[in-house]
Amino acid sequence: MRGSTRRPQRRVRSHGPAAALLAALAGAAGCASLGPLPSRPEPVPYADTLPIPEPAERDPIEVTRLFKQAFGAELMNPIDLRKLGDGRHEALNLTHFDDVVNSAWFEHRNGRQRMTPEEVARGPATGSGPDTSAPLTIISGKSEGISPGFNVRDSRGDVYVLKFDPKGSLHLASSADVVSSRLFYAAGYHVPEDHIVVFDSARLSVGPDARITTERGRRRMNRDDVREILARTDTLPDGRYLALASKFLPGTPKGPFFFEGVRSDDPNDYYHHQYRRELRGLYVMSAWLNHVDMRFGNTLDVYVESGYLRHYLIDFAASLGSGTIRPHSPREGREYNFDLWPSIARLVTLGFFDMGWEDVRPELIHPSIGWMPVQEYDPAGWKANWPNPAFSSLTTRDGYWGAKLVGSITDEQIRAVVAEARLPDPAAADTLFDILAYRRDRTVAYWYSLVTPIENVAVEYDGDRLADGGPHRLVVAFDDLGIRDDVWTADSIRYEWTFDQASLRQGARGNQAAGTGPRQTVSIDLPSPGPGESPARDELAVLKITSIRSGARPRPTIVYLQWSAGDYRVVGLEH
Amino acid sequence: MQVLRATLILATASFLQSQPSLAQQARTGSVEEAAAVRDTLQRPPATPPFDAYDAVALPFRIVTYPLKLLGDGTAWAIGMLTRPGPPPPFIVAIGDIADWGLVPRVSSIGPRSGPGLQLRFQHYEPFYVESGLSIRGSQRHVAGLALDGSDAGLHLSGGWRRWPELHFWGIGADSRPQDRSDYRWEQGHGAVSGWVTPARRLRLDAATAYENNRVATGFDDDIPDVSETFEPGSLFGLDERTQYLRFDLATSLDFVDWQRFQPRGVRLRIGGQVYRGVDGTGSDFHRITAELFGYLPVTTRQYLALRGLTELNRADSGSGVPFTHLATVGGAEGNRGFNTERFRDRDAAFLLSEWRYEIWRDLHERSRTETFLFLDVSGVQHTLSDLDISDLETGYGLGMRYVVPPNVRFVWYLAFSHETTRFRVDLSWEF
Repeated sequence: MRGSTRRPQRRVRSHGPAAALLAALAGAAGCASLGPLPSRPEPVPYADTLPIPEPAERDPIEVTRLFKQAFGAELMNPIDLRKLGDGRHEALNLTHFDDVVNSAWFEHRNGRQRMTPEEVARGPATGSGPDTSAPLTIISGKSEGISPGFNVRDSRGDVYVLKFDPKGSLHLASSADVVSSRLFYAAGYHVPEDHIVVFDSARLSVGPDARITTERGRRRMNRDDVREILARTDTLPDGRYLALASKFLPGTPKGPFFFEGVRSDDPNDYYHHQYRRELRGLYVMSAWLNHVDMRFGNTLDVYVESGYLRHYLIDFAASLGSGTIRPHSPREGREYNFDLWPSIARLVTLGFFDMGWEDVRPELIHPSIGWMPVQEYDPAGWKANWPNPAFSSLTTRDGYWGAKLVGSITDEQIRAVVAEARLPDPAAADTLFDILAYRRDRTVAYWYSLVTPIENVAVEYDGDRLADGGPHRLVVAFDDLGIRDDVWTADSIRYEWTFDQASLRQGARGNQAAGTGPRQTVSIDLPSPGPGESPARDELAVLKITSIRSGARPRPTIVYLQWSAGDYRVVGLEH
Repeated sequence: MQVLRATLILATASFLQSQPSLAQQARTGSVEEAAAVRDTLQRPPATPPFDAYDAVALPFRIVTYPLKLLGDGTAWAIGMLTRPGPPPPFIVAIGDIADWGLVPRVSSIGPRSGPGLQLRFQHYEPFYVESGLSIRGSQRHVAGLALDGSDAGLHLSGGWRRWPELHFWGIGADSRPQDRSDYRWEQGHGAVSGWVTPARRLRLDAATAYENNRVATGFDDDIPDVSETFEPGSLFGLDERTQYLRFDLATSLDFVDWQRFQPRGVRLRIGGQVYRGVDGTGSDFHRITAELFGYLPVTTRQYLALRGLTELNRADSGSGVPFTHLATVGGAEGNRGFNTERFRDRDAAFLLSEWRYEIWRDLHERSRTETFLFLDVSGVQHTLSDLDISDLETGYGLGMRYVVPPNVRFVWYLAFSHETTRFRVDLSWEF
């Protein structure tokens, strides 16, 4: 199922004065950059888990913020010189190896150490969900809005949010949530424990202090409210109810985090969020899983017992083929809810402009899966329902980083997670697996094709003849993720490299065809230093490797090498 | 050179970078200790440096800042209006009162009334009492009985209404804009009407009514009153109170269906009204109207909408048709490029045409926003067969409508003609 799908790197082609301006800007921007990765301090692991004073809970007006992004930010988009000239700032919280450290935002999991399918299927769960063998006490309810439900406490004292699938689409939202939350967890994000739970309505009892939020306000909850909420979903054939049970996160909720800026009452919140690699790379995961509702309203900062804020992603009901209350429509993933420029384009063209989704007649894949694009899926053209500042700041390197997370998920892991969704029909489960695997392969193929996807670089230096002024050789070994993940085959690749070091009279240039297998080696004959010269201690050398595939020349990977004690060691990597 | 500089920085950074273990140890310390550790951390910058892109963009940012403020203000207002949570107590109270049977409604109360507030008391349904008052002083008071089933209905009503700022330019296609005068029209009425749908797409309406009409001085002090413009006795219906018994009969064939957001098909209405003067009113006349609505889809997002109407008024005896009952075109009825009821004569015809297209659709596909370009053509004449090209008036413009099928919840348009430019907003739209 994996294949090579190459797209030309997106660049604005302009001519004349505009091109000259953009080129000048790009050059000038380069001079003001932060320098190569190894020259900068690295982020400190878990620096954002230092104790802080407990912040107040915040409750922002969501619509205001969304509209500001939908209109304000989008209005400036076509004249954003930085985007036009491909001068977007790279993420700032990067290690020397173009990665992130573990933090309150993200922890390396499957991408670093392959999890077993069972571990991926379990996700963050520490148990098996609410105990439905004993009464579930309702402690509060919500009948307004698009997702009615209640909070329950089980016999163990654990509190869960129970949410129900829309009538006519049993399993739709609950299965999407369970699958997506586990995949986000495996990628490294913090998510709640979500379970599919089946229970008899007779197990539900209304707690003495239970209150419900209705359209008219908050009041005491009664049994009629329970019946009204349950009437908005279907039952299983045996008369029991199916729900998504999301366990309350440990700690005190403090409101959402935004995808830009920092939280003023969190001293640990250092990097502005639109410059965080984890949040930018989240775009790629979201596109893969079609999580169109990735907005700040579906995030949560929790003040944990250790005294810091941990940042969670929550509520995945609008992912895969589910639009929470109905299957996804073709518009979702293609256009924002209020997408300014397509609307203006339609306005001025008398309605003749179209985005391509308008005439798509979606055929329900399965009532429990809903609908999502498969062949039409565009990994880089995907849009959430609302503009996301971190997503808008995404660069190719961020996209590649996110694609590595997606690519780390194996077929077995996907099958295990899909099984957790408890879909009613094995054929539906198979179809969902096929779709996820296909979209994964498309995602990986797209982002890998834009870069030279090499990792785990090791060097072996043979400098026996250096003292004599003779040639010396560097053997560079690396994993080509494109070969490893079956995006392309080794016989379609040539590696080109350039090697530069100040103390050498001239750089080295060369190329060679790829060998077999994902682990590749490149041998570089280095030029000798000048007479009476030798490489300076701790001198930095720059090796650029480009994998040329079928004539396409993507971005090179830059390997930073440090000369120390007569040897080279890899000190940095930049894609 | 850059490589050398980077090498030096790297060497320095390696020497200084000894914080990770300290940070991890301090995680279990106090807030003050954590702050001290945080201050010593060497980290990449939190924001990128100011560069050439920022410098070039700065003047643009300054120039567009007012636009940004406007956008932010609008976003704030929308957020405040749509903020989830219980509505304010007065809204809850209005809802409770409406549930009890006193229902408020904001809408127009007739031609040139402007927005008005109407209150309908229907606690003892099917009986109702309704009163309305508009910002221009239009009033409408009616009490009645409304019995509506799925296939038939019967209404009895009686009331009184006043339109205090109606305009009149004279009769005929050559009436001049500078001849505008205003008048007040008051009408008491009582009616019995009924409707029935013998077939799915066929509807029959019939009514018998009594009208008592009086024309008086208009409220608009800036415009001469019609009694100042016309000699007494020169305009039938101006000086005398007219009373009529009216008999209505109409039939509608409705082949319009909604496919998602688009109406498709045609609707035809043909009706006739017979007026018989009573209690000293020396005129009898009748009216025939034919109206056609057509909706022609082009794509799922674009369609052509047409509305054509022809109205003929003929005197049967006596003084003819009072000027208040002549056919009119202008405004939303007939030609949006002209003022309401701008042209008046015995016969009238108009064609409204709109090119409608979707520019935005609701995420959950329950509503959409359309833009429309329109062209209205209308004409009045004493006898329609005498209508000449030179009698036709053209208005054109554009607008937007917010549609929750099958209703239009909001519409605005900007209309142009050789005579005037008009901007209108409405909360409903039949066409």
